[in-house]
Amino acid sequence: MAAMNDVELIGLTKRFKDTVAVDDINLEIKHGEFLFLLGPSGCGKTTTLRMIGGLEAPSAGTVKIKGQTVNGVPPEKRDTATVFQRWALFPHKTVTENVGFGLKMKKKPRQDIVRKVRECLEMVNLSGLENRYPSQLSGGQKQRVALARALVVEPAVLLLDEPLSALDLKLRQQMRFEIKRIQKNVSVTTVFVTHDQTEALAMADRIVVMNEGRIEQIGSPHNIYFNPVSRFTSDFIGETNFLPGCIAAQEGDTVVVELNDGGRIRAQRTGDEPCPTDVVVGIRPEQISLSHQASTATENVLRGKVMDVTFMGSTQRFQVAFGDRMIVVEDVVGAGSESCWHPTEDVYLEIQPGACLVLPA
Amino acid sequence: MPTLNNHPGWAVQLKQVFQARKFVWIFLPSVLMALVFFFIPVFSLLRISFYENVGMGVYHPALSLNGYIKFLTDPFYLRVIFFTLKIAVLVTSISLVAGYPVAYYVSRAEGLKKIICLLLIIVPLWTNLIVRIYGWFVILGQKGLINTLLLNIGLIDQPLSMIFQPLSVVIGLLDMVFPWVLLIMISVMEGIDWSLIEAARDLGASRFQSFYEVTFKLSIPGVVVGGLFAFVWSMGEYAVPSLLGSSAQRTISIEVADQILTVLNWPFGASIAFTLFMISVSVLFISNRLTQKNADYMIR
Repeated sequence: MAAMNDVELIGLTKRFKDTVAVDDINLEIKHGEFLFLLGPSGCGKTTTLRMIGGLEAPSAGTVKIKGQTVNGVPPEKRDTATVFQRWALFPHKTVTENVGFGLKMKKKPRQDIVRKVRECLEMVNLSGLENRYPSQLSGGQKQRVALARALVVEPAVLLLDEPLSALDLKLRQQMRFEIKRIQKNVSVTTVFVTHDQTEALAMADRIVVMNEGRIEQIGSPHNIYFNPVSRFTSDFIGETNFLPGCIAAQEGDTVVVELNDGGRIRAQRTGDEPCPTDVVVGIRPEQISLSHQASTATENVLRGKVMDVTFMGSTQRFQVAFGDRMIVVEDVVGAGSESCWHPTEDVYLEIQPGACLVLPA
Repeated sequence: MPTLNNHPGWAVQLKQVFQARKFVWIFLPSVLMALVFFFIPVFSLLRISFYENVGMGVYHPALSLNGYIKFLTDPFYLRVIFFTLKIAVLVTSISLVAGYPVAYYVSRAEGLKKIICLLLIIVPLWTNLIVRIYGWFVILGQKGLINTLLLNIGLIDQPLSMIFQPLSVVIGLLDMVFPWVLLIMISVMEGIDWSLIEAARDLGASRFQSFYEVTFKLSIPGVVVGGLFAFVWSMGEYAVPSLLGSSAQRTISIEVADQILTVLNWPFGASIAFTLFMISVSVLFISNRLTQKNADYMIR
């Protein structure tokens, strides 16, 4: 046995009446890891989290925490602490009482409670607000109280259920950074549930992409972004243009795809190309470059027509008609340079083979 | 679009109207109504309570505390006050203790179950009060439902006297106040976020601890308001004790009616009425003080 996993999910399944919310999930979470469960709403990520915390009982499968099977162990006896989506702060208790609640329930001595609550409030930068009620706090402050309340009990596993979704964008970005800092300081094994891919990419050690109750892909943020294994992941994380086609040839370490809308794309082999000949080529908008001149190359150059240009600040976005579909292209805007692209203009799209992903259709 | 600037929305207009006090007369009917049918009678009753009684319905203007002193010192009337308080406290405690679990159950019920529960609580309120009181005659009377049943089974030889007793007064009052106490507590308990209980469990509270720390503490405002409602109504209720009670054990409200309608001693009747009013007001005031901390976070 190698390094012990703090959490182990084996064949975890949850059925609600006739829907399967979580479908046979297997996952190991290492000690101190910051793991993200990422997926659209209804993909079973929250249900998975609730099963780890003991707030939901699995229909089948096993949950192990620190090597111990905890199926049937009630939430109060599990070494987990949850930060809830709307924070679920006790409205009739002050900040101190909220944060101290877990220690009080565990019958810790008073001095210990006072000291630990103070330390935790310092850690989340809330000193000075000890006697406020939740109704007297801002969203960001409530968020910090919820985090402190969960951390103060020093859980083996910290569970966060979309804790930032109720905050506005600025605050959300700030809290991302802060939660990551605190998580690293305390080095507590953490499971963070979100539907926000930028959140996951920015904070995670490892991301588990979920869809319809199943795991689509597990990997580092970098890996998930650049090497999605399915159309779903590629579409959900970031933005991707999908061009359907079929595999025409496999030459050395490249694959050639004949596109349905005309044109050939050569893509780098990643070693796990799908067998079927019907595929889609996924291309990120920022990986495409535009040019006026027709290239002599017969591969990886597509001819289209600019339909719309949108100025986005640091970048500009193009809608390019290609066949009967639209390809989105994103380009960095140089300071002072006016866009030299105009709607209805003919344009050539160039893509490097390394930036093309061949995925099952 | 210049028209937008020239014509502010209706909400803004309404606000301007109120600020300009142009339409204050809108409130006139309700203010007039309260004045003529509540404040003036109550005020004249307060005045009469200090008058000197001559007898046979005649009284002189004066500033006498005789009525109040008599009511608050005479052993006979002290018994009346004590009996009324006893009944009110009993009705309040029973409706709170028995009502709490029911209210909790209904507040957590869902769908059809909840609708049925609420209907069971509300439908009796659609029946006229006097009809409901006479219903208790049929059930509790000498030849009523319960006595006939118990006699027929042979559990008793003599009919039990259940009517015209403190017991029947308590039952009748419970019939009046119980649905309202339930509705008040249900409405407060429904507002308690279920995730708070999950949060408490998650942080190590047992089932009982999470109930006490979250559900119970957050339902206190409902208990207080429901309890006050039951207490104040039981203190002042006239129809139930006069129809279901015995003539030997009288309540304050019966005494008021007696003094004014039968003895024709208006000043004394008015003193009693005001004492009752003050008891209720002070109970409201004290409980408001005691729950101030609770109210603080609820309002914000």
